Amino acid sequence: MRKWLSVRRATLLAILVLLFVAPPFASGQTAGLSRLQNDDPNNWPMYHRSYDSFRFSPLTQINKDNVKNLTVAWVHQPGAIVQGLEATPLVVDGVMYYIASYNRVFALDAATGKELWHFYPKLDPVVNTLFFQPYNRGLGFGHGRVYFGSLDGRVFALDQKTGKVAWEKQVLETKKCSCNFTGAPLVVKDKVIIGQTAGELPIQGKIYALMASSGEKAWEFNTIKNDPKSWGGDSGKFGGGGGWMTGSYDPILNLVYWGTANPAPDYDWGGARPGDNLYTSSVLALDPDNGQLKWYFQEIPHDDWDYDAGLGESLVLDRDGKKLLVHQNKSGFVFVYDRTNGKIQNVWPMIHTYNFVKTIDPKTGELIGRNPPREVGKPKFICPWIAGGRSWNSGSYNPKTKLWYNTAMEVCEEVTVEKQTPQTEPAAGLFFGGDQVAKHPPGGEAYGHLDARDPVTGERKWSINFKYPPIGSVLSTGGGLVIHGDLEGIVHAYDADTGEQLWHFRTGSGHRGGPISYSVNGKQYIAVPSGLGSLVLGLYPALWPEVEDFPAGAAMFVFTLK
Amino acid sequence: MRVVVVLGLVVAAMVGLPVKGVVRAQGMRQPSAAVTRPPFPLDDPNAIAEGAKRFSASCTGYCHGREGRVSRAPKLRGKTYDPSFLYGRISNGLLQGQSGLPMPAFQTMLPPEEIWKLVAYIMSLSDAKDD
Repeated sequence: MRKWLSVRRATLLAILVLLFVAPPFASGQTAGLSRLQNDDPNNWPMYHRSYDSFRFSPLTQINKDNVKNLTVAWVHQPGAIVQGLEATPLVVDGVMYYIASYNRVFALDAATGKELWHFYPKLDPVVNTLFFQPYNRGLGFGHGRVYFGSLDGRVFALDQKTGKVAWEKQVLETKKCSCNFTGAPLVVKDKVIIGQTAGELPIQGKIYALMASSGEKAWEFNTIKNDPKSWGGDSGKFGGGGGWMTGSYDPILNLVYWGTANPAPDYDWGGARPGDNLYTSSVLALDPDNGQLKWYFQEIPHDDWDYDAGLGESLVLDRDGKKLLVHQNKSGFVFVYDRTNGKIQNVWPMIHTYNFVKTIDPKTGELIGRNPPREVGKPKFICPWIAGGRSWNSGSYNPKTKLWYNTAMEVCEEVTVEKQTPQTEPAAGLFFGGDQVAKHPPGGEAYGHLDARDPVTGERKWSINFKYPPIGSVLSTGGGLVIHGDLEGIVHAYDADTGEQLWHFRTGSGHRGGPISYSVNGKQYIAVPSGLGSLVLGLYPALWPEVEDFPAGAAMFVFTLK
Repeated sequence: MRVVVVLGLVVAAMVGLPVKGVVRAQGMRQPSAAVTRPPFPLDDPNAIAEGAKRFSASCTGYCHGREGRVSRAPKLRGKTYDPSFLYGRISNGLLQGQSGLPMPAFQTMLPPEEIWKLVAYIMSLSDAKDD
């Protein structure tokens, strides 16, 4: 008996050794990749849920008929409310992962909200000096690990089961560049791809790919092209750009689509940065294996308004035999491309109020009748405002209704351009080249709206107006629902076909993050991050003084059927 | 008993059950800056003008609004501040200010003279009225 026990113990020990000593990356690789590449309807394994950036959950258990029976399943609070809760959570195999302000990362039982682990990184005090802090918009997942870019310029890989650090790499010189990571990484094959903040800084912003196994840098792409025709004088040294939000991926073409941020300074007094300023305010198609540029399209050549292409999801959409890419620019125009080569298929405005151009040519993408603020010290009325026709929050495409559900803002501004010398010592200082104040559009009040549109033609099926332009992302589901939280702290469920409100719930603070849906043990849930905070909120009180006192917060609300 | 525990761990690992783990918490603060003396009179028009430029570049649109008008961060027009308080606040920032906003610390970004120019400009707004 004793001998049998010893044999049994030895066998168990051997199994343990095999399980824990074998390279975790090798064992996690298969599971991680299959979860990312197979469309398991129960999961939400990446920032936009799928590589096509649809933000669509195919789940149908919660639907138009029963959504009125939604009730709170659980609530989790990250304990940090500074700048609210901006993230979109992930769910993989019954575990929710999310990141809150100050890079607090949590793993929770997705059915009960019980904490499995948390990770609070010890951040460098330089974070306290930065403009872009302390929020974070999301995590990456794959190979048995959870990834995020930190406020102090590192990229972390955490073991998905324990939250222990698998590796961490200092990628950015944050103490020097004042730049950091605030967007979610995209895991593509064996790499973790992430872009940095830079658009308002006198630096050169880049997109990075790190090996998922080790954190070793595989490649980097400089969004400031080394070309004196594109950047006159030494302006390229201070050109900004970067790619601070999350891209998309087409596994068939093996292309990653990534939007780039605005040039610095944001405003040009005339001669600040001569040239078209490639590759800022552009959409890039990159080979994820080596970072090579396959094609690009600069949506706003020589951007005079801070109309980023870094925000706005890139929908990977096939229609009528065409491989399309639909990308919303901050200017409020939506660019539709042939994603094999970057040729423009259409450009359409998702806002009514704009004067920065007369129009954009829908066949070529050319800006027609540019209206830049250039005169130093003289305020100029520009629409849309610097927060854009939409901020960095995402819309959602439902392949069943073939509609894109998306928020938009009808707000203008008064821009005053000021000459500015770039500050690079002792660290990079903000490089706006002017300032702005929000204004109502001519002849009416500023407002926002949630629209259901055809993403290729722009044809509108329904709209809902909001007094305060919304800045939360949108979820659509196979149950025919559109879920969206507004600035006042109400989450709404709408009929995806008609826009009729079917349910609502007051979460107590406004919405900036991304709602998701998932299923555990056959039960569907809808998770809604609530908590108002954002840099762009600072622009609101000029038009709506009461927004100054809208409460901040941070809580993950999860709903299910009674 | 130990065998049962080990077996449990093996099963947990094989079926992929999460194992609870807690990683230590963070700390993130800079030491407070010493308050220096202003190198010029705070009503010096040149200092105020240069402070206005700096304010426009670093403190307006997303934070305190043009010329200190209403924003998510506190309105600065028409208010009376102690200059030492302003110097300390600009130098050290705030981890959590009004409406859950942080304020960046400028002590490592700007030399004391530049911070005093900002103080001079903000002090000059004490009699300003909203349009």
